Amino acid sequence: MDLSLYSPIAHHSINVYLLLGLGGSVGFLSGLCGVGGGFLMTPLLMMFGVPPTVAAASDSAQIVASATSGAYAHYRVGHVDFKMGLHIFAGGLIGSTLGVEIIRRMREAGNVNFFIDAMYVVTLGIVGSYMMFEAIRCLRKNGEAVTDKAPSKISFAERVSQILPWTVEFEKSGIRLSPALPFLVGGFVGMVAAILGVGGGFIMIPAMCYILRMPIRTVVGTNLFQEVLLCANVTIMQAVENRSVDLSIALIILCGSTVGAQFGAGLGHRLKADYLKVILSSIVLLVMAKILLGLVLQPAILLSLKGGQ
Amino acid sequence: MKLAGRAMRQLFILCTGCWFAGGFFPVWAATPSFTVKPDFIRIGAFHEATKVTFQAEIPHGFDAVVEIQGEDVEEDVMRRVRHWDMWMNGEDTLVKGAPYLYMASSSDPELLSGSGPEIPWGYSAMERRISFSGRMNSREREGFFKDFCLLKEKRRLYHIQKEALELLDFSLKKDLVWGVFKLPANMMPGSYDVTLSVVRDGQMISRKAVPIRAVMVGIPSLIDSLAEKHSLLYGCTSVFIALLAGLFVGLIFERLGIGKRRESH
Repeated sequence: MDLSLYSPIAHHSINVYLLLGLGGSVGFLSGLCGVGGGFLMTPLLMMFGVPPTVAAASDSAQIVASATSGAYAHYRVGHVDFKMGLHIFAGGLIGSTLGVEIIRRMREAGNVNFFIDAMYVVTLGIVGSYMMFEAIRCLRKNGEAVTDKAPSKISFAERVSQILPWTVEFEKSGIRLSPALPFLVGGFVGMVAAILGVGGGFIMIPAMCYILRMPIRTVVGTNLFQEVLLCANVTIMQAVENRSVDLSIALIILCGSTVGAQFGAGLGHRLKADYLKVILSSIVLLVMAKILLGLVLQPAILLSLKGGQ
Repeated sequence: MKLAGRAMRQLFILCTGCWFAGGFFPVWAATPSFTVKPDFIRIGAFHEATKVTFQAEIPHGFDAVVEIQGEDVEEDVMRRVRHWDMWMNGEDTLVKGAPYLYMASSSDPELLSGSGPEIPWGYSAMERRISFSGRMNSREREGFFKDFCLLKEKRRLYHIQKEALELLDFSLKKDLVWGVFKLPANMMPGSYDVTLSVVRDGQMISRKAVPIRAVMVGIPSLIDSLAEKHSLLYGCTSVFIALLAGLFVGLIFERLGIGKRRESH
């Protein structure tokens, strides 16, 4: 049976089963590999004809829902550092506002599609290559155990954090650092999240581990908490500035992704983590290659509509 | 004598009437009957491509051209240019007077592919009607118009049907013509005109238009109206619903014990 959902924002009909399938597949991969699926969902929606601005903004609304569900689960077991999350969000608020403004200006200039595609090529390229490299390295080392502690070597980021003034105690995470550091990290991730319509976990989690030196047990829950706040802000800003949020698309994807994530998590416990990373990074790199080809190959029609819709 | 005069006058009136009727017969005969269904399209939450069927009775031996077109809009289009080995948008051009949607079919498809100042249908008529901002010589204009039509065709908003319309010898005097326009799911709400032109030897003899309307209803209408008129409220409502949905899902999984199982791993 063919059942399509009409998006009044994109003025585009998209098959409901396709949306559920996309949500389910990305959710499955998220659950399988333990990563957020935002960076895959937006480009996949774009591939199926949803304008980039609508895909990015609607995915932000979907992330609010999925991150709330995840953050709630971590809150129940006491793994959310609210103080740190709020400091990161303070930076994220400014960064995401800046990101939405960049999108608005690029839309006016007529190059928003190119800009979003190019940003995706860069981020997916970096994330995919890094994941693939890490997974292959671990497989070659015959699967060294991953430590549950933050790295002990003093890094450049840690030296910077020691120089910064007004150090504050983050009791839940058991660390002491200047609030300027989570603020700056939050600002950068917020800007990227607003432009790409992602939660930013793929940047935030390594930043929390290696720059903020947070213990692994509070990283995931705190990241999800700040994602809820950050994506809520992005959703409201996108709705006001660009009128590009389609709640109906977001809710249908959510239905698929929550169920898919449970199946993925169930299977993920039975498979070797490094093989999962290889699978996910291959998918990420394939999506990146598809977007890159779209930018490099000569289009059949040498015209496009301004605004991307 | 008086009676003869009256008879002469009546004969004169009858003859004149016959002469007029004979002279204008083709026009009278070409006035077609034309029905279009549906004439009101509801764009709801599960809206898909809509089939608009039309049926007309036209004089025997004539041809029919049927068009559907939306309101004229101003479209801002951008040329794709190559920078740093990548294709991005360059200068923009404002296209004025082009219909938002245009589809045409005919009992003789060659009628639609013809060009010339006398032809009132097809892309050639549209090309005469629309204007582009910026300087363009005639060759550039031709290329730009061709690309513009291709862009609209890719979005399924323009289409010239290559197959001939079904034509049935209805009677000795009339033919029945019918067909279908498949309006794309991405059509905008608004007014559209379905026009039937009755044609003989390439010349339009008569024309009849039936208006149809497309209106957004239900959830899409609510979302569109909120997003356009109360964008802040819409944004806050979206976040609120997303938060509730997330909490609801979290509670369901808590009840099912899935969260606990995951934590234990």
